[in-house]
Amino acid sequence: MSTETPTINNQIIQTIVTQMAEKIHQEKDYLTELDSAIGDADHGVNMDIGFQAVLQQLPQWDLDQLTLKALVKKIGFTLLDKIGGASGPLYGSFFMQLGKDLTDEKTVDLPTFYQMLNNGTAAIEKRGKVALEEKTMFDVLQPTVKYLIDHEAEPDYQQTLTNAQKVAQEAFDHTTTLFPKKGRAARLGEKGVDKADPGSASIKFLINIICDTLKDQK
Amino acid sequence: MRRLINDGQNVVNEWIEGYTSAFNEYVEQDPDNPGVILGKHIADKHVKIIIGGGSGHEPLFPGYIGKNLADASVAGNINTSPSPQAVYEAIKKVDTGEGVLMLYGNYSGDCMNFDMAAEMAEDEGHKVDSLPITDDVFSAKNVSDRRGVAGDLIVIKAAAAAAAQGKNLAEVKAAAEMANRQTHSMGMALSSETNPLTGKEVFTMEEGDMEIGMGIHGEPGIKREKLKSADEVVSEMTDYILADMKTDENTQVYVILNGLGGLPLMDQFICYRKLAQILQEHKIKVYHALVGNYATSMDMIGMSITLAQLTPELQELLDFPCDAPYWRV
Repeated sequence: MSTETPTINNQIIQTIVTQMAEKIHQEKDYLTELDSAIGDADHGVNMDIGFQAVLQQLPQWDLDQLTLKALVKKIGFTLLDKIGGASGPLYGSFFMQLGKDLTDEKTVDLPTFYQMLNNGTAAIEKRGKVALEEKTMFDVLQPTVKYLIDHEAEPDYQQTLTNAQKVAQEAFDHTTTLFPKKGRAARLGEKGVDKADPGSASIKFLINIICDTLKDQK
Repeated sequence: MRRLINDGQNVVNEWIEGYTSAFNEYVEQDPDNPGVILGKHIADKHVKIIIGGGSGHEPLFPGYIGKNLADASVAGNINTSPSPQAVYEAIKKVDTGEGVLMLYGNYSGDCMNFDMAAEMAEDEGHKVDSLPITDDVFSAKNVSDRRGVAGDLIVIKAAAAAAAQGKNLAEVKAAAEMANRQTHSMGMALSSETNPLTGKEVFTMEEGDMEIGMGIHGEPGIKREKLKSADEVVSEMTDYILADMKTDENTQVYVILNGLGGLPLMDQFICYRKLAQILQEHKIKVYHALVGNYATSMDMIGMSITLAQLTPELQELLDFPCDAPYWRV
């Protein structure tokens, strides 16, 4: 058990989005397949376009100079511009609003980072006009981030992160049982029950990558 | 895949290049934003109409950019809304100070992206309003939840005529809302469309099946069933549409029988024949009819019926002269 909690800086954000881009690229067909059953069969394709664009831009950004707020805004803006559809504004707003309460910080502690995740979650809630139990990414993100904030003072932060990943998995499993109420899936009605929501699947990848990356920091 | 394309990654830019080259007397591709198509007439001072949405519905949207029609369109990837940045750039290019009305089908992605663009433009002092179009009667009970299909044309035409007549932004929006209220559509399909990016069908449909009520991206309809005759299909669809309208012996309609891209014109005329007979039985007068591929879904085999119930105001707006590559009055 590690007693010292990690400090989050631009390099950690870079690791997270790089791994997310790789994961999305690997799982492109899986996400598109989920979307084909419930939406319009392009979630994997569009997410891949967006995160690959971030990968291409990253080397041009001066990570030593940029504030955390500026970096997450650049990532969000690139996703917003390149993903399109509903996922562009949702993932774009998530990243852009992560830094909402920051000023010129280049590092933040873990509780502040959890609060950043909460700001991102609130941005998705507002932009998507979404509530819980509507079978969206919000159903996975909201309880996971809430768990992290509620347990931010726990001494074993790595265990907290592992538990949060379990919360995300359970929330994801729960969304598959829900009746879709948002987006194109809402038009499916009952036919949408027992199918996984593609946005919930991609946000679960992001949560897992964030948690694993933080656990690896000593 | 039976599509005649080059690299699937380039289809959006390539179709726009081809469109703007073919109709260069009407439009140009914005050199700074490849998804933005600008009318050649945008210096005219009046409220401007921006339309747009995902690619794959050609000639919607740029086919309806022209004199006294829309001023610019913004195209996203296949079946995917354009980004706020692209829409914002279009607003900056066309606004001559009278304001901009944005018209698009009511899909969550389009609503979010166009809303964000409006927020960005309003921060810069532009007056922007928008109307998500909701003509598809089968897509939801609640009208504001319905999606937009070929009825887009009626709403675009009415709003653009009002703008060309020098009405202000609130009046142009009111004209668009009126046209949207009067417009009722329903679709059906016999096949999926092929996404040229993935090379795959967007959904699976067995040969010999059909689905009445299906949306323009393949959103589910009433039920999957064996293909029926044109007359039976048109009768069933028209029943649904008329049930959504309040008609009497003075009712006049503007009709669009719209092919989704893969249905022969012969079949579309056979469908229109039955539609005209049914309307006559209901003592509904057809004021004007359009038959052809106006709002498509790439290679999807199917069609939609749109009935716009005329009011004196709507009739006058639809009769107002306009000149665009795919609509001349």
